[in-house]
Amino acid sequence: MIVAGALFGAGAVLAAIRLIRGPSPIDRTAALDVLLAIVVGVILLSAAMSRSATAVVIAVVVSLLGFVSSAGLALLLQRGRR
Amino acid sequence: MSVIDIAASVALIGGAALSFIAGVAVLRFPDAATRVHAATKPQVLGIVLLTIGLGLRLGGIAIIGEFVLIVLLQFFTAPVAAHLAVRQALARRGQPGGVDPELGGGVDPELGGGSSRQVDTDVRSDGG
Repeated sequence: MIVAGALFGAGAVLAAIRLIRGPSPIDRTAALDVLLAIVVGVILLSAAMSRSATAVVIAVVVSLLGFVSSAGLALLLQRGRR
Repeated sequence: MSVIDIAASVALIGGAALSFIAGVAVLRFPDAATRVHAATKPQVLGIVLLTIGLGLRLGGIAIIGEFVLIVLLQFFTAPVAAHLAVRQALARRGQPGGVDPELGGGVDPELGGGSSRQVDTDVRSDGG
């Protein structure tokens, strides 16, 4: 469990570096996707550690939020180009 | 520590390792399309592995509906979001932050193989 948490933390740091440095908005969108997937993973991991199922609903909501944010950003970039 | 606990730990660590690998790939891959490609991996396979691990750890029947909901939502939404992002990257081919023209040429029969101006008009006429 600690190993899994450390892997999540390292992945989040690397994605955050790309989020700050990323040359184009699309790179930032990809980094944001990775960060939201890591958030869902940490929620599921904490639910697995505490053996309680209440946080699973939060994971559903966060994964849907990730889709809405990344798809909305892509469509917004497309509109900005016209 | 039973067999089920060990299997759950393997699945959870596998999902976490996929997230870590996606972090490395998003940082090190050369252009936007490959980064989006790498970002999709933990969204689908990582979530599936973590869900399997959590299901083995909880060990109930009633929770399976929510797990199926999570996995199905990820299966349907992650490719759509990645497709929208990569289409934007392809429209910026050659510009900084877009697809490398050497890598992006001729990938898609509709979008690839033309000049960047042609790709632009394709995307414009495509999107609402």
